[in-house]
Amino acid sequence: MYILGFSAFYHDSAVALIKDGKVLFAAQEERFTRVKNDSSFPKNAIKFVLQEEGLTINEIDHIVFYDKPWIKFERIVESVLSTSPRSLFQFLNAMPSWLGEKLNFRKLIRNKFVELDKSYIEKKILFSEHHFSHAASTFYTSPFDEACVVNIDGVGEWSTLTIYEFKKDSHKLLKQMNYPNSIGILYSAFTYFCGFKINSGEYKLMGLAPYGVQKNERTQFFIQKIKEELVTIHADGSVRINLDHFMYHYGNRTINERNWERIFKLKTKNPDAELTQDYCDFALAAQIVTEEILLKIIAHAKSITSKENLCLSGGVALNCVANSKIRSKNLFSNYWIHPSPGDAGGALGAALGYYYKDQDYKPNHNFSPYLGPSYSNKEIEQALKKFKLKFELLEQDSLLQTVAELINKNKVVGWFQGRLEWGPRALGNRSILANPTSRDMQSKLNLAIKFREGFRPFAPVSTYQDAQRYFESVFDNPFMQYVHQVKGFVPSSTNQTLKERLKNINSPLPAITHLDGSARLQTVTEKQNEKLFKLIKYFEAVSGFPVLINTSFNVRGEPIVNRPEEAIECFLETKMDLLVLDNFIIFKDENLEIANSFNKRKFALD
Amino acid sequence: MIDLKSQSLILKVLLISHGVYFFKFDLKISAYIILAAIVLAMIPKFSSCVDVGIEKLVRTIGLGVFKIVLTLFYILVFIPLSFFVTKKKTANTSYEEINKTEINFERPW
Repeated sequence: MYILGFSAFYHDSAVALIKDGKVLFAAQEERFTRVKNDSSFPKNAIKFVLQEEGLTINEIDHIVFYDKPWIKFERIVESVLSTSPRSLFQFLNAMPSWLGEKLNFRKLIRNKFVELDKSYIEKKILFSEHHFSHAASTFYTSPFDEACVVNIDGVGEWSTLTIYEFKKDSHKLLKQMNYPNSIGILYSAFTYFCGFKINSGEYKLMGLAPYGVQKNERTQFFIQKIKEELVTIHADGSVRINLDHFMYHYGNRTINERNWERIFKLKTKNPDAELTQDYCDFALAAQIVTEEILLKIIAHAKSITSKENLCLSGGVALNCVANSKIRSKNLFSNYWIHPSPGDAGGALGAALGYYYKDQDYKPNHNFSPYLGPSYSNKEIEQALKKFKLKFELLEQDSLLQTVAELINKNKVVGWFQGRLEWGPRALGNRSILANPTSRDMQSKLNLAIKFREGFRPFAPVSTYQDAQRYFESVFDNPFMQYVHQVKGFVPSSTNQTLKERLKNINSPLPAITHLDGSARLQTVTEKQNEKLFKLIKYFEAVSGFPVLINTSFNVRGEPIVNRPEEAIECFLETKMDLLVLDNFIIFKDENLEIANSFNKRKFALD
Repeated sequence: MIDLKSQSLILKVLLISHGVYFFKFDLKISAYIILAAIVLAMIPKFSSCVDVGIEKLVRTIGLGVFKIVLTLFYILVFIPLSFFVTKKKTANTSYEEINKTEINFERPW
């Protein structure tokens, strides 16, 4: 039985195809359209998966959408009603699209499928629930036969936080917190105040937090004011947002900037303005308060379910610093966060949730995040010839040896292998790899290759077996969902400027060590990703370190590359030294003329 | 949407009828309409720009009118109704007990 799940029309639209409970394919539409966080109907991803599997849309048994649009509409109407007359503009903005097409959702979807394939025979579109899709995406990919499942995000239909109990043959939604009280939106509000974009800049706020100094008076002041003025935190982790200082429930902005500036005695940061210590301290305060809330929620979830296994989902589960704090409390014995806990993951959850309504779930001990498109050698070669590049095709061992030696010489490698990763993180198939022992590598990668803010950290990838030599408390972390402390890290003086502190990081792996000594580690085993595993071992042989920098293969403001052509363009536009497409290797030195004459784009802010 | 063949037929009918109006009934406006049609046909890029422009204008006007209707609806229905909305008060928790075990996939609500 084929089931197609999809998410769309909010942000991060995506598609997942399963057959008899087995995940065949999952990918976000943004990887095809090249529009970051694309929310449009995922027609390109659907077209691709049908072609790959040799199916027509009429051979799909069930099509499941990831949430309930009418309940979302009800929430909008009720919200508008309860905030009237301030909500007039929100009402005028929302209603035309809802009354125009979204309310007749089945017709809208039918038209989209007809556009895709004229022979489409109408079938009933099924609707999951937003938080159930999240919950199903994490539990039905987990190695557990029962678990407590906690979902925390901005907002679904009404719910912003849900606590479920899942067993192999049933599930029960125990508790729910509703809009407008939302931890996800609160974190997005902090993100906006620090000058980053909502729905895409949250991870930057998390990355900025370690630059804050906890003992600073300002940090303590921010923490106190957030708790006094913005949010009441109950003992069970539920929150009440003080809506007097927010506008998201009635307007087109998230926060009441004037109120926030009065409360925090700090201006809302302009995205282009210089980053000062105040904003770093604010980011740290936001992170500390968020962690306090999450720890209380998890403790409450444990107390009402008494389960040994915890599954997390929802966009907030991408906060790997908070995830690590949760895990360090040892309230549960086992933890699972699947690689795409945000809204895109809902596409997979919708399909899996529908399948397992009549089936018992068998724990999956080998869930792979490599679920997207892959390209054959022939397709890669065609792409290389299209760009008239000089290239070589090497045997695998020779390729790995060459790449490892070049990384050791501080060369930066575009690494394109096999199937695209599912989720927002590059996990070694569409990655930029570099030497973590180089002191200058962090700024080189940020400024000359990714064209992004200089403060942003890079993540390491290490073999699971060797990681404990360099990182504290290592456990299997194949999807980069947690941070670990780097062994041998010595904190720098907080009296130094931001740039000085960043430059003087005292760590054996300075390029992947954040200011607080943490690193967002990916562990890899031979079974999980054989080629990446072997490359790390080759690098260890030449450098002594079984660790590489692993950052996503893209530039600022763009989605991770999908096709070989996009990888080549990214290679030519940046100061990357070599590109590896499967076993093809392309050196910048040998293609300098083409790279120099390549029309370089200006990259949008992200 | 009207397909291209129908559009072409409609155009012919309109041009012939305006020709009849001009030659038989001496209507000057029909001559201007025929002249404008010929000019537009001679400059396809310009005519397609005009076409897109008219479409955009009509859509904007339509949306504007729709928003005026929505504003009236908001003032006459939503604002009076909002006086009857009671706000939930939370004391020690914002959670709601749900205890639901099934999802109805069949319906969008």
